[in-house]
Amino acid sequence: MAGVGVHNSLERLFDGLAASLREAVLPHLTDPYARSQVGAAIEILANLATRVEWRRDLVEGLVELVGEALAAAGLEPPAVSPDLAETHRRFLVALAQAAANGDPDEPIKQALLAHLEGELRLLRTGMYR
Amino acid sequence: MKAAAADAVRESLASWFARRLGVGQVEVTDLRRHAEGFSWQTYTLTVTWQEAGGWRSAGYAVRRQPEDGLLPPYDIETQYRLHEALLAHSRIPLPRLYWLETDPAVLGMPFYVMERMEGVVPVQWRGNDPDIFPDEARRRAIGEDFVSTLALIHQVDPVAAGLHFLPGETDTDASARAQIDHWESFYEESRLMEVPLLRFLIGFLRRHLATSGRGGLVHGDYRIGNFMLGPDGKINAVFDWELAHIGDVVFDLAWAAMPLFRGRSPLVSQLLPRDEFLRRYRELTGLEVHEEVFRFWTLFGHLRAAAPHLRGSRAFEDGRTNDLRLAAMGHQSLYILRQLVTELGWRG
Repeated sequence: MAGVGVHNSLERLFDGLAASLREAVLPHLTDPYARSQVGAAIEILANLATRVEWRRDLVEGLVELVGEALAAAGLEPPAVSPDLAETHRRFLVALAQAAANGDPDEPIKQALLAHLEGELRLLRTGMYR
Repeated sequence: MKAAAADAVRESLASWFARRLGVGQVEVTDLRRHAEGFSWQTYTLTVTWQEAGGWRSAGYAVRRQPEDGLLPPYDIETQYRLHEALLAHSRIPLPRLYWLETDPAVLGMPFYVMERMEGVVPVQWRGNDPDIFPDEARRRAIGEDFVSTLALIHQVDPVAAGLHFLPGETDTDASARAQIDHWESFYEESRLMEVPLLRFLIGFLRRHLATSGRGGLVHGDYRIGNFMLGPDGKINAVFDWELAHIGDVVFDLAWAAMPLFRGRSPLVSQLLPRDEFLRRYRELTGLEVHEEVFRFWTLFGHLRAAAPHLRGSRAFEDGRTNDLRLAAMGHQSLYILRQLVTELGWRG
């Protein structure tokens, strides 16, 4: 699966997290307990990677939000794909195209804002928070 | 820096400095890699060697071109030429420049060597550091120096300084259009998926172009974090010229004032109130900055700020790095988009 929105794919995140812990953190740890904790974290990440996916309900929410906005603006929504990431991509493209002239109809503007607000509600941390 | 990597860099630089200085042997000490950035790598070091009169030592800074980074393409020769031209044709505080090494055999990539400056670099996430900002009077003094230094940059005559090798042009409308085109391409190459708000912003900027007519040398990343205060408390160096170009000078003002660099402070780069920043700039340069122009460049600044964040996620996704800071940039870009919709007046 590719990245979703501005976020990396889970497969790559799990791989990268494990690689960073193994290559950038572990060599600097001398305490045996700390090393065992990092080793276990690497193992957990590897095994989580085969069991999780990005939340389906969030993509369904995007489909509904963008679909309604496009309809209100007199535009045709894209087809939903069986592939979650592909559906996500198609609806982001459709919203982007509807807004690309820089002067979108009000429903499109509200969808842009609602999409961002939905993403922001999911954030827990961040250096610019 | 890992011990083995540090030893290899120290050994390579020791041989290189010995050749450059024309001496038999040098000792490299105090080697430190400054890891703050995501692009250019900077090392500082002390070099000691023996001459006829006895032992001598000097501090140097080595700036190495990155293999990959957030703001490609990298062109070390342009950076070196710009630095050299500014030393010759301006009073902008900059380190002395010594050598350019284009052979990648020494450090894996080309690099150049400058004087090592002594001082502190105020950064946006430590805007209340009592050692740098003991009181508001000191903060204001730094802020006034910050504006004066920016005025020096904008007073450079690009023709007299021979800056024809920089991108851009003094026609500020044409330059602004070229900047939008450039950053749209950058966005296209960097994103994992469409970011509808940025696609909207690109269209909005094209429809609402507003520039000052004052074309000149634009630093491109002038803000807290990119200058050093010397032991006397004055700015003694301006860093990170990789986005320098010829264009509308108001970009630098709007960029320095971006919410991204304010932390929780209302002050421009956590230094001066915006009105005072612009008033002092007007006194020094004669340029009255109109609100619509300032807003245009502020909105453009959000594209400029967000696109490299997307590139961070892209580089991580493509497996070009396992640096987790780059993976974290995806969600950090959402805060920049939040600032954008606030600036647009869509959000309270």
